[in-house]
Amino acid sequence: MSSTPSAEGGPVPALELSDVTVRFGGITALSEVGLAVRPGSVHGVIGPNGAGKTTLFNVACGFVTPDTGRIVREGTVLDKLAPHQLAGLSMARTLQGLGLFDRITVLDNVVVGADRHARSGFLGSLLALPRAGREEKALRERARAVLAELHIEQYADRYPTSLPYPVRKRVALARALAAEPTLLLLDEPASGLSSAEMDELGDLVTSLGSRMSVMLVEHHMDLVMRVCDEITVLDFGKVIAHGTPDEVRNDPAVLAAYLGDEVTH
Amino acid sequence: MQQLVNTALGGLTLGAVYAAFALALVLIFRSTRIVNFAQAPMAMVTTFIALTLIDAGYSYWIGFAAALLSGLVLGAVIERVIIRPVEDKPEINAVILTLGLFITLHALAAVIFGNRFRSFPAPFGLRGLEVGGTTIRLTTSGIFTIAAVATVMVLLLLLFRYTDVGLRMRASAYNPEVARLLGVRVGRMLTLGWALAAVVGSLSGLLIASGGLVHPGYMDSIVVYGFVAAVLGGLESPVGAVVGGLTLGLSLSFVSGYLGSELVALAALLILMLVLTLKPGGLFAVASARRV
Repeated sequence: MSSTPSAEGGPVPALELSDVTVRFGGITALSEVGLAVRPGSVHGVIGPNGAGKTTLFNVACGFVTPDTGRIVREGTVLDKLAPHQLAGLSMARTLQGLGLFDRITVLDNVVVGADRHARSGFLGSLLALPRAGREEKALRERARAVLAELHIEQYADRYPTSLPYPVRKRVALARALAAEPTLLLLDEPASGLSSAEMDELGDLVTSLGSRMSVMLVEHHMDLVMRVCDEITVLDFGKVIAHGTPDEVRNDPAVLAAYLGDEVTH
Repeated sequence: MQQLVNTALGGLTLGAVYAAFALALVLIFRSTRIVNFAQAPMAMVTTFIALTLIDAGYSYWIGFAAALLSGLVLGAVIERVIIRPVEDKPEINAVILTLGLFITLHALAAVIFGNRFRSFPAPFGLRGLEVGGTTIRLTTSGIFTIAAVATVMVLLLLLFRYTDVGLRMRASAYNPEVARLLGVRVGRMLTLGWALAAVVGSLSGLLIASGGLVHPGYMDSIVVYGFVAAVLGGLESPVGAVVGGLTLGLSLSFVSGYLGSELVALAALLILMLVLTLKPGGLFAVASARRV
């Protein structure tokens, strides 16, 4: 890993992907894709189905290693990003499948997410040393606070399987937030939500943007237009547009590839 | 009446030992899907370590503690050195490695400790206690056995339910990928799981040995009964393992007391078949499809 100054001399991006190419066999899923998530902004990635959004997301969180390209986190080049490094890089992601632990209570699910701050070793916990006890109490309090922030504290002692899908989605988000990331990666957060729930989600993401950088992969146009500061549009694995919601909305390439597509269907 | 009570008490003591062994199997299975056949010889080795110390003049309790401690180390080392390299391979690879370990530990023990029967002391008396003028089949050693297993059970429960490490271990067991994503050091949790399992296994080895004879193969039959107990409990649940162990101990004690001791192995097989036919997920089955 080495440090590189930001090319433009502006603030160092929270996450920068440059020249990312991913091939699966003979198919090029992403071709020389670049984007920069500015610190404290909400950055949306949109595109029609099969445009490469999910692949790009997986590159950003280390699930897919690109064939070429660079991933730079706050000025540090990550030569090889692996999923288990995310927590250490103050990054958190949500999973489309939620990935909640079914047989662990909602509160404990969130505590696991908050855990990277825990320092007590095995023996400390086993012997219930005061330090370990204090840390566990602090973890629990933090987890409860995040649940309260997302208005799901009343489900703290329930098991995820017994909860409706929108609540489980919030639990998954709470777990990501409990790690206190400075960069949050959201994978299709609106899928399966009603339009009212999507509005609430929009407000939430907007409020998160003031505390951390957010990268949002989503196909619900309304939501993306409403909450994002900047948008990157993908089509057939290439960046076809980039800019503010207004710029993107009026971009002819986007209209043709994406919106036009919707209008004609 | 007296025979009934005695049979039940004998079964309870035996069941506690099966429970400890089943618990050791479950602790590893639930997080790795590996049935650790080497659990028996591992416990045998640690019991021999205790015996060596006791024969050298140290107290029973020094030997006892040394056996548990060496179990902790042995479990961790085996996970790191032998199981870890095949972690990404199908589970059957690791299971076969544990079988290889079974044979290896046997052979090593025969070389180091001698391939003969040696007597192992008991911490407490082996005379039946007197209750209301009659002697019942519960010895002080038997009470110690039950109490030791109960203590371990409670400690594990506290560890899993109320500590941070326990939570991380459960998270790693249920979904290692997601746990890793959340920053849990899953590999460490697996090592810890093996270490704890080996401690519990060592305890069962000591309890079976006490007041009896040990030999490199003395734990072998326990694998079968411990495994039946674990299956009874569903192979996933520590509580299930303990209840399974007690159920099996009681059942076998009654078979032995009322029908004849030669039928015990057959009865264990029958119970295993009944459970697998009627309730394949065990008595404590939790409907779930964890891994496909």
